[in-house]
Amino acid sequence: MSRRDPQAFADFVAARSGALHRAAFLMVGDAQLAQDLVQEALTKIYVAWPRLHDATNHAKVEAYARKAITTTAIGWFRKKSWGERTAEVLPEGSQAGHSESVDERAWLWQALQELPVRQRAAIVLRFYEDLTEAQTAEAMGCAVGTVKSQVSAGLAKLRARLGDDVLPTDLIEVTR
Amino acid sequence: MTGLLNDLMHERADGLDRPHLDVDGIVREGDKRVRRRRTAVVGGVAALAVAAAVVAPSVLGGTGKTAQDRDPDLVAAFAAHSPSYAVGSRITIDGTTFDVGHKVRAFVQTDAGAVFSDADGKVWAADGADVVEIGRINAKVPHLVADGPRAAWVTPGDVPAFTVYDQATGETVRDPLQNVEGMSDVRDGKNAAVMYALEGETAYVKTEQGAAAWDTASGDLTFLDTKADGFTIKDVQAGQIVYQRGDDILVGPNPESGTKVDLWEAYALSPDGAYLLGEPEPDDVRIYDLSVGRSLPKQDLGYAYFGGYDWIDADHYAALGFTETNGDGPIDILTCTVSSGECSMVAEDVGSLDGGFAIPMGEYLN
Repeated sequence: MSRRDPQAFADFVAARSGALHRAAFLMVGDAQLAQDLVQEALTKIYVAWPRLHDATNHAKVEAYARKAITTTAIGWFRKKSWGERTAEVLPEGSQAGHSESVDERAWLWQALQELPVRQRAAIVLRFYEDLTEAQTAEAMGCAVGTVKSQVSAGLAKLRARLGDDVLPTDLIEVTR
Repeated sequence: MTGLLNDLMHERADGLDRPHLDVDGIVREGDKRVRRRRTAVVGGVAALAVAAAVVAPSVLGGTGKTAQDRDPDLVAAFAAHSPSYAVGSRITIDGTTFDVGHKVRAFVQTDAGAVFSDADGKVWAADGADVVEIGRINAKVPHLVADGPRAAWVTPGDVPAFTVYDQATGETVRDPLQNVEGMSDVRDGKNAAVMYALEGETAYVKTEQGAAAWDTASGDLTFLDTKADGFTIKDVQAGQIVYQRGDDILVGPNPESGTKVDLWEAYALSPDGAYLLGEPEPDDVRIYDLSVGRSLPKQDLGYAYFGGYDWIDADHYAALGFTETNGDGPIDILTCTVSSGECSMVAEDVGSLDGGFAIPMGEYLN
């Protein structure tokens, strides 16, 4: 069995912390909070290192890292009641007559941050990390069916908020 | 297909600066959690509560004093395996505190009292009336186990010896078995002699020849794994052995026929062998129901860390609640009921890891 090799772990951190930070940021919407999340997830990874690290197979540690980030983020939000955080600047919903100059991306980002954390995590894993539904389920520690329902509900909320023009309906129908 | 949503997420994420991570701090914190988790490896598992009625009136302490000479509340509390803890030299059980005269570094709880080690590597037996020196252990990395009235450990020496002490009778059995000169007496040391677990009069040990069950009454030695390489016994109860082989945790009557369980780490079997305290994921301590092969839902009591560490009886276990993840903050002790899922406070804010706090796990906590 592998021991905790601080150098091997440090190499992993150097190679993967940037990607973990990016995914964490998309899940929590705040760079500093994302950094704290990565720090906590990496601590869990270090604790689990002897079971994860295999010099010939990095898939195990990669999968565990995704799971650590995701479940820790969900746990933080649940524990701290941040599930429905109030955005710093709350936008109104997309309505008729609303100025066409509104930056669609800003609205979409805002709406994404307002999703419940499990829906947001599912969307980040599916559409940013480009994971399959099965891989997403593994990372979230839930069933594939739950991933489907979380993604579907999240996208439906985004569409309801922003309209079909901004978020085409075909996004909902993607299944791998 | 991802279109705008995908583009947006990449745009936002790619604009981030690299995180400023304290890798040394992560390693320090990780090592601390590993030590904390190791302390949750239960050395002794509770006697059934029914034993109290049998043991209390007749038990003799290791010092020869009768139960009538001791505080009857203490006798009953130890016999019932009520949750206990130590702060400095004071041990508290069921609301009664007694001073053992030496700072407790590691301790286990037997049916008849507490067996503990101090910073000098001396092993003591305390029953609330007397404190008696009964042996020696590795001072820095003590490891004690217990079951019923007995405690066991590895005695350091040119050839490490396995020692089993019966706190009810005061008898000690010590034998190096097949150990050889130069073996380590530290559980995680290279070529170490290890006291894995104790069940009744049988000690589960790792000798120079491999893992074995040692019947301390007859002296019989039955080998379970002749290499013991990547093999570790976690606990033994009701004839069931919890062991780890490679990355797998298995449970069975012997190491040849175990069933793999979906746990990352395993600590202790309930006295009837029905449940297993363990972690499906690091730092997520759960009760694993062996009859259905899955972990029970976790109670969310609002602690930064919460987990069981010892069985009181087949349906109750003792648990720790850390108000801070790293254990620096106040610690609460609770009892939880498996069948109802409910927990109740036993002692609130009993101390912190940095304040000389210890629980009967048989290892040094900090």
